[in-house]
Amino acid sequence: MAFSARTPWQILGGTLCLVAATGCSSAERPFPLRDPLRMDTDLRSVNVPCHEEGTDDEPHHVSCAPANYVSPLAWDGIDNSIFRPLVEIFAVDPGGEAANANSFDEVADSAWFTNRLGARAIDLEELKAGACKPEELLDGEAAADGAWPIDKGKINGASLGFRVNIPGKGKFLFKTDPKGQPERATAASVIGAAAYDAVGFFTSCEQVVYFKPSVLKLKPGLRYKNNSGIERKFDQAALKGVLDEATKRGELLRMQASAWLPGQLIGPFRYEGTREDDPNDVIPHEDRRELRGGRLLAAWIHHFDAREQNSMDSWIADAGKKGPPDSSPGYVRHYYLDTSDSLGSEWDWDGISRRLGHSYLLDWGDIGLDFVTLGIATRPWERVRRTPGREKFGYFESEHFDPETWLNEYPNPAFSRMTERDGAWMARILARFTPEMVRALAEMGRFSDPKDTAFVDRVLQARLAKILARYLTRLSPLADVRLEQEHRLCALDLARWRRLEPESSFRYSARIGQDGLTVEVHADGSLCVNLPSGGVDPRLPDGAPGRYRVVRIQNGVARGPLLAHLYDLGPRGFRLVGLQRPDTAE
Amino acid sequence: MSWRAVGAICGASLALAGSASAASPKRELPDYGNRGKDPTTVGDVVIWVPRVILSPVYLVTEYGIRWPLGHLIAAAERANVPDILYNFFFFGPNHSAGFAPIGFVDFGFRPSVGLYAFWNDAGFKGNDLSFHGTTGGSEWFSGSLSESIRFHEKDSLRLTLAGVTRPDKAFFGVGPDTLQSNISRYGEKRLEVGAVASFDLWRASRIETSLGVRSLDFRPGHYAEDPSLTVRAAGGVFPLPDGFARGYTAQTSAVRVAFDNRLPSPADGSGVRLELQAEEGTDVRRTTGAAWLNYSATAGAFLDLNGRNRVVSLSVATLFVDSLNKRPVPFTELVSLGGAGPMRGFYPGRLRDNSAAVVTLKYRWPIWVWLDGSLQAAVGNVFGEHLQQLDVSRSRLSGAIGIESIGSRESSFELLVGFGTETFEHGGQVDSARILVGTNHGF
Repeated sequence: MAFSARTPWQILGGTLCLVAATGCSSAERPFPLRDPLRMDTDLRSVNVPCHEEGTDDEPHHVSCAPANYVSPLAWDGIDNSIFRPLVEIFAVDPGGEAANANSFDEVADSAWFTNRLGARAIDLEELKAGACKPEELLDGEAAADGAWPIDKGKINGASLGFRVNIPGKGKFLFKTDPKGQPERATAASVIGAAAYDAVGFFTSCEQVVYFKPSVLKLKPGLRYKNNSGIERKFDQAALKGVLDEATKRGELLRMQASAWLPGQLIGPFRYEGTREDDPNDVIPHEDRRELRGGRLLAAWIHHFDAREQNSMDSWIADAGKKGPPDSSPGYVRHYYLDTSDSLGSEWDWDGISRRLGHSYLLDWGDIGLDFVTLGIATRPWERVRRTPGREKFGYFESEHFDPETWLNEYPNPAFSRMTERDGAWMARILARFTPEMVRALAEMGRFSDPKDTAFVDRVLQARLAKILARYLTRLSPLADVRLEQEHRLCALDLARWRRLEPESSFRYSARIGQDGLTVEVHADGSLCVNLPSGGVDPRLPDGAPGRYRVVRIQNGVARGPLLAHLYDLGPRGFRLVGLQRPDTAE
Repeated sequence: MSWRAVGAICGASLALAGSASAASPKRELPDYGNRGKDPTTVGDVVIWVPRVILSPVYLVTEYGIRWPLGHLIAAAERANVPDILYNFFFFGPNHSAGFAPIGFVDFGFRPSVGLYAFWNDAGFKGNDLSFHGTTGGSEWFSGSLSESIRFHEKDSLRLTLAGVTRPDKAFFGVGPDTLQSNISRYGEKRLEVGAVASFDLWRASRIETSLGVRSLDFRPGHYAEDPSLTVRAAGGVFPLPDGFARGYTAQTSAVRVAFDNRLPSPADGSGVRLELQAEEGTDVRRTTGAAWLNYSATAGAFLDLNGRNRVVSLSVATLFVDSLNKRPVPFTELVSLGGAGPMRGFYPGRLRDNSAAVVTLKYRWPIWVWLDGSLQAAVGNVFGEHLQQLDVSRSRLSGAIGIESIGSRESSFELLVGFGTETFEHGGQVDSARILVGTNHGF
C-alpha cells in the first residue's frame, strides 16, 4: 500500500528487534583488524556444465553458459501483485538488513555493481558518456547514406523500432518515442542509463540520435513478430511505418539507440532468489543492498517500470571474442536496462498514469483502505496535475513526490525489503549528483525545446532534494570517512554539504569512549577529529581488544551518530576497521 | 534463516547433485562484515513460533499453489499462450471482435455463467453487435443479441432480441406488507424484441424512445427448499397473481427523458438530474387483454464533496402503473422494487404493487481506477393505486454497500451486500439479506 512499502512481517521484525535488543544491534561485536571487502568474489570465473540449448540456426547447439531465462511477463506481474506478498505473510520473513553490506556500510564491487560516484569524483564528461565507449557513439548527421544497415525489425512492445548493425561500432536497437509524448522516452532512456551508470550499476550504452533517413539501409528478407505474435515482413513499408512515428527535427529523425550488450545474453535477473545455475550467485537478490537501494534511484527518475523484464544477465566468457560467447569459464554480469518509461511515461488510462509512483497497479492495501474509509482522504494521485506546457512529461513532478512512499508499478521483492540503511546508502551516493551534474543529465535528453531541459532539470533537482532530506537526516550522513595523518579521522557531512538544513543546525560532537573530542568543521562540509594516541600497552598484539576504540560523531541533525571502529596501533597511528550508522543516539 | 533460506539450500544441493563434474561449486559466501555470522538472537528464535504455526498454510500456498501456478503460467507464456488466447478471445481487424466468459451470483437465486461477445464496427463503422448467452443449469437459459448503430456522435439506435427461461424467479405477493418468509418460486419464459433510439442532449441529459414486443409465460418454479408460487397460492398465502395463469404478449412504446447537468467523470460530480419515463403496454395475445401505462418521475441532487467524485446524492422516485382498460395489469408489469431497481437491498421482485415511492440517499466514491465503492440507504415501499395509503410508517428500509465497476453497463462488475426490513409499523426488523457478485446483463 502507498503508506509504506513494508510488509507486516517487516514491522514485526522491527518490533522483535526492539524487544530482543540483544540481537539486532551488533554494536558490541568488535570488527577484526581487517580491511573491508572492496571486491566481491563473484567476478571470478566459474565453469558451468555444458548442455544442449538449441537456437533458430542450430537446434542442437551446446552451451556452456547458464541457461537462457525467459521472463514470464504476465506471471511476474500476477505473482508479485498477488501470490508472493501472500506467501510472504505465511513465511513470516521480515527481511532484515542486506546480506552484502561490508564493514564500512558499503557494498563491494561485484558482478552487480561498481562503486563509482560514491567512491570517487566523476566529471561531466564521464557522466555524459555513461556506459558508452567512444567507438560506440553515433553521429547520424555525419553518417554516409546507407551506412547503417538494418538487420532486424521490431514492431512490438510500447515502442516501434529496428536493429542496425554498424560496421566498427556494433549492433544497436533503435526505438521511437511513443505517441503523445515526443522526445520523452528517448530522453528518459539516456538520462536513466547515465544515472544508473554513474551510481554504479551496469547498463547499456544509450544515445539519442538524430539522423537522416538515408543513412539507413534495409537488409532484404527481414521478418518481425507483432504484438499479437504474428510474423510479418519487415520491408520498406514497415520501415516507413516506424520512421513515420519518429519525432522529427527538420529533416532529421530522432530515435533512441541502445547498444547491444557484450557477452552471451541469458535473460533478465530476478529480484528474488538466486540463479541456480550460476555458481557465483549465492545471495538472494532481494537481500542485495544495491538492488534494494535501487528503489531510491528508481524513485528519483520515476522509473516505475523497474521490474525484472527491464534487466539482463550476460555471460562474460573468459574466451572473449576469441571463443564462443557461451563457453566456460566465465561469469555472469547483471545489467539494468530500459529506463525509457521514466520522466513521466503514461498509460492509456489516465487513472493509472496518475497513480504511478503513489500506488501499485493493483494495490490491495489502497483499494481496501479507500473502501473502508469511504474515500474520506484525498489521495496524492488525485492531486497531481500535468505541468502546463510540459504535458509530454505526464505526471512527472516533485510537489507530490514522497521518496519514502514511492512505489513502482507492482511490488518488487528487493524494493519492498529496502531498509533505512539501504536507503541511506543509496542516498549517500545520490548526494554526489551536484546541481551541475543533474543539469548535465537533463541536457543529455537533447530536447528540442530548452524549456523541456529546464523542466527536467528542475524536477530532478527537487526530487533529489526530497530524497536527501529524508534519507540523510535519520542515519548519520557522514561519508568519505578516512584517516589522515594516521591520527586524524575525517569525514564529509553530506547533509551539510548539500545544505539540507541551515548551517546553524549542524552542531557537532564527538567522543572516544567517554572522552570528548574536538571537531574541526570546515566550510566545504568536511570535518575532522584528532584522535588521542598513547595509553596502549605496546606489547599488545595489533588486533588485541585493548587496542580497540570506537569514535562516536553526531552532527546535530541526524538522529543517529556515526560509529567509527578503530585500532590504536600506537606510533603507527590508527586503523579504521568498521563503520556503523545506528538509528538512535544510544 | 527463513523457510526461503532452507529451500535455497536444498535447491542448491539438488542443483549441484545434478550437475556435471565440470561445474564449479557454488562459491562460498564471503564474510562481508568481517565479523562472521551474526549471533542467534532471541528474535531469531521467537520468530520460528509463528513460522511453525503458519507452516501448513505456507507450504500449501508456496508449493501447492504458487509454485505449480508459476510454472504453468510461465510455460504457457513461453509457448505464446497469452497471444494465442488474446487472439482467440479478441479477433478481427484491430481486434474489434471478441468474447469473454461472464458469471453472476445473486445469493437466493441460481448462479449463472455464460459468454459475452461483441463485434464493434461490424460491416460498417458505428455498427456494434453484442451477444450474451448464459445458463444457470437445466431450465435456466438466457440470450440476447443487440445491434447498436451510432449515427451521430453518441446518438444511437439499438435493436435487441432477447429471451430467457428460468425456474427460480421469486414472488412474495403484491402489496406493501408482503413478507420475506412468503417467498415462492415461479418459472418465467420471456421473449422480447425492441428498438431504442437514444439522443444525447446537453451534458448528461438524454432522451430515449422505444418500441417493443415482449411475450411472457409462467409456470410453477423451484429453488432450494422454497415452495412454488402455485403451492403458496393454494395455501392461501396470496392469490394467484394476475397474468400468471395465461401469460401475455405486450406491445410497448416508451419514452424516457432525463435532464442532467452533470459533466462526465473525472469532472466534479455535483449536479441535478430529473428523469421522467413512461411506457404504454397492451396485451395483444388476446382481445380481452390488459392495457397499462407505466410511468415514473425521479429527481435527484448530487453533491461532490471534494470535487473528486465523492458524491452524495439524494433522490426521490415515484413509480406508477395504471390500467388503461380496467383489466388487471399482469403482475410482472406492476411497479417493482428491489433487484437492480430502487431499494437494492431487497431481492429482485421482492415488492410489487401499482405504485411506489422511494427516497434514496447514496454515497459513491472511487476506490480504484475502475472501481467505485457505493453505500446506499433507501426508505420507501410499494403502495396501491396512486400511492394509496402512503404513510411513512408503512415504509421499509433498504441498505446496501458494495463495489461497482466504472464504465459500460453492458458488462459491469458488481459486488454488493444489502439488507431489507419489514415495514416500520411492523417493527422494521431486517427480514432479508442480499449478496451478489459478478457480471450481470439484463434479466
